[in-house]
Amino acid sequence: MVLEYKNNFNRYRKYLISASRQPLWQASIALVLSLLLLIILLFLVLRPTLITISSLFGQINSQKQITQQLDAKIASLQQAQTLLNSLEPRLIHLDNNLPTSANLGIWTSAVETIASNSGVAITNLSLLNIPISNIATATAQLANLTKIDFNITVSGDYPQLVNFVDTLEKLPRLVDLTSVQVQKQKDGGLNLVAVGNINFTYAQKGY
Amino acid sequence: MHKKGIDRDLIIVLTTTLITLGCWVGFEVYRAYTKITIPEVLQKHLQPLNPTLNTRVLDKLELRDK
Repeated sequence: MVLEYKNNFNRYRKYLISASRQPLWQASIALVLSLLLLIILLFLVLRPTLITISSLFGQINSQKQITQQLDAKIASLQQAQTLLNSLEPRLIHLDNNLPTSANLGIWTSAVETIASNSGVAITNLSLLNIPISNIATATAQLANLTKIDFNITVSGDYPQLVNFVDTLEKLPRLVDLTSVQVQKQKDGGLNLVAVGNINFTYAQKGY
Repeated sequence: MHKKGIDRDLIIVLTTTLITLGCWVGFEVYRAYTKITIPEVLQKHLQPLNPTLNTRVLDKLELRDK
């Protein structure tokens, strides 16, 4: 009877011990599994989703900024177009002074005319650095302005030479004279050597 | 007591891993938000334009033509 009582007590004690330990074990297992699940979910599910969402938000923000900048540029363009339209009647002066193509034939004809009107004789007219069309386009893309050097030698008396240079400078097309030299010839006449350049641009017609 | 020690270490390791993973994901999310590349062609179009024109040159040319 006494032994049976002890056996029962021991069994009860073991049960109590195991029962008292089991909730803790279960609790820790639950915690470990929860943490593992969180880690797996964070790595496999939340990470790609959050990255996609944030990149989309970033794209939306950048697109908004781009739209604002483009709107500002459109407004600037409209303002510039309005200003250009108001100035359009005056742009003919720009075309005359800085044509959109070389127009060398017209310019040499004009030089011949002023030489004839001034009473001087052209003995030499050289044009240097004349661009070939394709190369000129490449140059124009870089500088948007092409320079053609010229060298004119005329002979006549002094007032005629002065009149020639004066008229040359006042041509409708801009002429940049870099040097003018007057030399006395053996026969007593005067030679004038004018060196300078003319420019033109490849701007599209209609601006 | 031995098993409790292992449990506690495991929980600490897992918690630290979770925190590290959270930080990593956070940084990656921030990087994805800020790293936006605008195409070069579009960047050229986005350059601001000054709408003012230098009319003094036109004035001078007009005077020259007169």
